[in-house]
Amino acid sequence: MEEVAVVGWAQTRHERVKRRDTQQSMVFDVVTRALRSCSMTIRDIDVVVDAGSDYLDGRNTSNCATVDAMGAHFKEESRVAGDGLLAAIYAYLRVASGLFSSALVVAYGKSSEGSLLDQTRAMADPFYLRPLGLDALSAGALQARAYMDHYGVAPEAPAGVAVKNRSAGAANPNAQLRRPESLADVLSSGDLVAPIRRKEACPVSDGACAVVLVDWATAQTLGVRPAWITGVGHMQDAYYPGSRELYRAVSSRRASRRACEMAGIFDPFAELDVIELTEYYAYQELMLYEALGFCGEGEGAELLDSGETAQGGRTPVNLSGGALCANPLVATGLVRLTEAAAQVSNRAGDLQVDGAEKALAHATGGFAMQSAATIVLERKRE
Amino acid sequence: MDEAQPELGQVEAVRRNSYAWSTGEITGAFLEALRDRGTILASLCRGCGTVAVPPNSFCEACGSTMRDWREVGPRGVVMSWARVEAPFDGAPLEAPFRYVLVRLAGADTSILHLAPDDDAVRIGVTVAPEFREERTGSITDIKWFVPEV
Repeated sequence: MEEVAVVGWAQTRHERVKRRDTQQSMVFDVVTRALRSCSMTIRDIDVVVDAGSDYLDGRNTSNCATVDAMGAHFKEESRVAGDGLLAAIYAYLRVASGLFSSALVVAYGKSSEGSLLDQTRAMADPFYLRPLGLDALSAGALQARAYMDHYGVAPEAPAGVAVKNRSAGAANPNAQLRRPESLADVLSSGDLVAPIRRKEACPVSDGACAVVLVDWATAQTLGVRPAWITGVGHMQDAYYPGSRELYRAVSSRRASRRACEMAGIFDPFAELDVIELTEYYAYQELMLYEALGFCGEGEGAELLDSGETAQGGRTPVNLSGGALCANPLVATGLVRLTEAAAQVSNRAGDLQVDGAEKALAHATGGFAMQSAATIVLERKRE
Repeated sequence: MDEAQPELGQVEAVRRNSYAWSTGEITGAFLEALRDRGTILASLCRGCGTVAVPPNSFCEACGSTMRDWREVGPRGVVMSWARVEAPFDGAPLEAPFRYVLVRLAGADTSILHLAPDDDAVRIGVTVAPEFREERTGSITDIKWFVPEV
């Protein structure tokens, strides 16, 4: 198997509405800048893998209308239905196979163009869930309650995640929400669907992200420090929320374990330097600390309170501000990969963690974190 | 050019798609039992013994075919709940209402359904279904689950 590195990337400034952009112009912008960031041109790209949502785009087989902006003209292209981080895993496998020496990964979404919660209701099956109007927010609220009840987590605990991530997002020029929030602000922000409070939920965002992957030989020619992919994992859980252990993020636990074992990492919190998680709702970050083995089950709130996952802590989580500060849906998890790659290749600017060598990026999808994807990145000593 | 015209920034359109989804035998039988008898059917897996409600033709846990039935409930225990305050298009009830996950007696999975916005609806509380008078063969033939007093 070929070694594969992330060498280039770009993301938009995520905004509530990008009125001056079409889906295609956002894509073209990030593709152009991602290629430029690693001194490549579209002619150097062998294959394109992308992520988008037909329902969100309002167009069937939507990639037919976006491949040109992706530079896929007369190239092999394929689309995944899921977060862009899963597209990155597909692209990784293509380059690792030796059949392709480079791959472009693209993910985009303009959630402003439709009604986002209504879009998530369209994930529901027509017999058992849809007549009940279930959406991602209510499914999340059911999971939050199940989690907090099972482990006796204090009702205020998720608010602490929002405070941490909103504080971090204030320093991220690409974030949509760049104003810190106090604990009192979050706690008094009102219920969206109880127990999830307004300021514990991700915003609605427009945005896009592109990432360039290459094999070892190509990486030597580019003059940029690569972020090597040393582990990948993807996992599905049951679709119907009532069939799952809703109080645990089981698919995230299994996806992360697979990626970490592949990378030879057996104590993720001690061995990783930077972590980027997809937390559409604040409670999810606490569940993910536990699922990824950073602490024991039910101990996520204590880990948060210890400050070890905050900026300046032992292993900062979501220095970018995470999904709570920008949620360009479908690209949200791929953005986590660019943040992780920037850290291990020492290109994170003001957000740089000194000496960051290993990082993990995570994405989740479906009702109440049904599925998960994880990628481990490493700087290799020269 | 008419100066009252706004700058053209968006083009609006509504698209309506119609579907008639096949229920299949298993879901069809479940919905018929709700409509005609007011009973709740689960599927039993001969492979791993899971009793799943709502039922499926396959067992997601072990991959076996599910062909056998078990009647479950009608009472069950609330495993989780969420309170919806704001109305939305296509909402199943007038807000506020609650979503509940209910573990029906005899079942190994929880069914997602609705409950009144009543503080008695809590995790661990026993609830019972309230069937609608006029039933159409829908999951909403059960209006909601109400706490036992």
